[in-house]
Amino acid sequence: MHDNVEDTYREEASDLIAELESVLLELESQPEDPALVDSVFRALHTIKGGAAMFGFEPLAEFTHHLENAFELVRAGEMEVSTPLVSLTFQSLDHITQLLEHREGSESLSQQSEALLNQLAELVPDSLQEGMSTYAEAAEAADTAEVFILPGEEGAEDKSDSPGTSARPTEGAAQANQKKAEPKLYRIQLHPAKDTFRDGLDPLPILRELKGLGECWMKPLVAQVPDLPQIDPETCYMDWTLLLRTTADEAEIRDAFIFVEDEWQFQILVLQQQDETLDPEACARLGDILVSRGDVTQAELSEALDQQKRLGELMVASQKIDPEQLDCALAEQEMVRATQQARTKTTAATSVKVPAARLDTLMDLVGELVIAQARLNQCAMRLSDGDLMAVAESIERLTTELRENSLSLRMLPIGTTFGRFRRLVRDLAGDLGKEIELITNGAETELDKTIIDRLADPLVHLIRNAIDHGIELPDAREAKGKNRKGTVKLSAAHSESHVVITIVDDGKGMDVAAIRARAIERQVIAEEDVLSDSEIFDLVFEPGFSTAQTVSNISGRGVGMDVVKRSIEDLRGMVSISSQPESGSTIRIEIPLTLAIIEGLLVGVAQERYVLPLSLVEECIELPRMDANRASTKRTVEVRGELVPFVRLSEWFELESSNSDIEQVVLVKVGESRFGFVVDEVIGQHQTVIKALGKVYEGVQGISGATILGDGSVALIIEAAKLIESLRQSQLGLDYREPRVAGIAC
Amino acid sequence: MATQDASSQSPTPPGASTLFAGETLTVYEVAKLKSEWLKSAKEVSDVTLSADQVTEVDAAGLQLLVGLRKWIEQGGRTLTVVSPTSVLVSAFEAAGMQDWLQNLVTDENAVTQ
Repeated sequence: MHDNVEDTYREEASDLIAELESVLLELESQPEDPALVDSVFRALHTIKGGAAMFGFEPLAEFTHHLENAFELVRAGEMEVSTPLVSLTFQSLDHITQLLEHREGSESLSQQSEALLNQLAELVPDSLQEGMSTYAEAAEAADTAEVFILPGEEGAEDKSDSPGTSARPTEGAAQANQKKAEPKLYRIQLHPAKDTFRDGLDPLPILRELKGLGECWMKPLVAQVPDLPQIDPETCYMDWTLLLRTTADEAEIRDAFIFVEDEWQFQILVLQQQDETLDPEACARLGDILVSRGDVTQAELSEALDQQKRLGELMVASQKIDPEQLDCALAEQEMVRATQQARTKTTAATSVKVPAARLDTLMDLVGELVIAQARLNQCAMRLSDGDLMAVAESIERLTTELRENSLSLRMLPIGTTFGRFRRLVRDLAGDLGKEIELITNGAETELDKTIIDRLADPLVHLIRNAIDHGIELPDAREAKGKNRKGTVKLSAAHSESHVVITIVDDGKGMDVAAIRARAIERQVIAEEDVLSDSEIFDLVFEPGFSTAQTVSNISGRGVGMDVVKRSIEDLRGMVSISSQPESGSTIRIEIPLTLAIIEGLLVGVAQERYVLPLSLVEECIELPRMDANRASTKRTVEVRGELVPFVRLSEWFELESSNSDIEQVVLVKVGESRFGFVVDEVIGQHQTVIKALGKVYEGVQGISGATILGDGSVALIIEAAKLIESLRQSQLGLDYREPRVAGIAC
Repeated sequence: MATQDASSQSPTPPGASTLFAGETLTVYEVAKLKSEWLKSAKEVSDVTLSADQVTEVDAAGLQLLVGLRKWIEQGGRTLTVVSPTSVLVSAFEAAGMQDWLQNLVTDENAVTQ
């Protein structure tokens, strides 16, 4: 089996596990909700089906038992209880391990047994015998009861020709009957030619589809060569299925979840035949003739018998082959029998694309943006009106393409929120605390890469809030607080950033304790004067921890500096505010994407730099005389406020122009304003971010580079880090004073 | 295993040949089975496939049987499947091919458990 197919299954199964965790938490608080029970059952069923298909036998077998239990819950024979939910959570952890070990192991097998024993204790004795084993269930799926289609006796072709199977089966998933009206779907399945070589087998998928309802299935074997010609490891077979089910299209698509990238399949909701095409209409004509006495019933029957049917005519003229006729006839019969009102024909509305392809698309769009900038420059240089018009059109299209491409990578941040609910539940249980996690803005979208890389820092911050922030229930009660603490996790858009906040209503941070620890660890000197917010920031220093004891939950002091670094690597910022006995707030500001940003292109000497436009507040002019006057303090007064600045020419040791007017670009980083003095402000620039090579990756204050239209390179300034470097540098000594004046940088 | 001790089977009439589906009729065995079947059934009039040992089947195995049948019937010969196991019958049902198999089995009750 190819690794990538296995990996695809692992990836999809992991997504399902994440989804399951989220649903289980909801189910715990709403145990009577049948839709949630259905969701759990379906996800388990899909994990099991994929496991069986990809040879994860221990996983398939284990999940089968769990699925059995939820089938009992679905049937109303077992209740959703806290022990069941807890055990299911443990089982999901175990499934995650089984995913990593396809063949299983002795210790995993023992864990499976232990968990299943616990599960058996939760299932009422009277129901134990009714639960099928994995092997029994696999066989049952194949030998489901068969019945004759309504109207099949009148079907045009009842041939016993090889490959014909005009007998639908009634699947096991009868629980769906309580749902909406059944619909009739036509599913055309074309497995990839390499299906067998990839270690995939269509049979489990066909079994799963069969289990969704009443199913007629036609294998298309005309393409299979005879034995001497056949390449036995190439898949030549296709299938057409007609499925009458209450399941919706998403549930049907679940059956293909592990092969949708490789196989072709179409799922159509069939419309009822148009009245004018209905053969019944012909019969009515005959009825009229009979009722008028023009012909007798016998004469009508004789005439109908002599009439050659359309299908026979089409086959005789070799327009279709008998297999196609079988499929069309079966569809006709099932449409007739369904008696549905008109339903829309809907094609698939979404396509799953591997993330790597989106990365490639973004790279190409990036190159296009650069080429378009170059075209603009050429057009301006040549002053050709036609060329400029074309360049403008291409610029507009490129911008739209860029925005669309970026949007493809956007995912709601709620996809990670789900895992935090589980985290809070488990940690609160371990620590004997009562904690509710409230989430807001789960629909806020961020680049997938950022979401992935943000998950670990958020886990650490939430752990900290639970471990250090929220008090034990008795302690809270003694303080007049609700016994149940809350951790509020919110996300919201703010211009080109997303702001994530983690707010707890715990005991808050102890400024004196942090300061004392910082002095003890020699992070600051005893005589240093720091504001509360600066003291809070000290917890992000490496090795800092105020926990009296190191727990396995947090407090190792190795996390917060990593949290800060991870967020800064995403070009984000993190800050803390806290009130004693009221709780703490952690604020994270993250850019929407890491690929392309709107920048402000500036010139210093012969060099070009880009400042992220989202940080830029305004540009002001600074007469050189004023600049000289301000040279000792390096501050400029902007509408009554003193704002520190730095000349980039000094910082980068460049020879600045000696024009009388300097330009100051004012940026806002967090709550602080800062000025960068440049020689010229060139203008807005779509900046495709390119990583710096290894040699330059450690340069403070530079986050990357971009290629300009003329092929030259401009460095992208990372304002927050540059300001931090300034504070720590010799140059930066001057910047401490404004901070004391209330203008922290 | 595709091969089997022929002496343990009922005697094959003259001009006929018995093929063995073996225990594993899956993608891992189909290339080997193809080669064995081609060799054994090339110059005989009628072919019997003994399927009483099959314990594992996948769609590649079913497809090979389709290819075998096409080859046999194109030459005006007949293929008979003897004693298909319940596993094989179940796989044909999963693929919507139960009638296809039934047409080849002479004794419908001859399903090997």
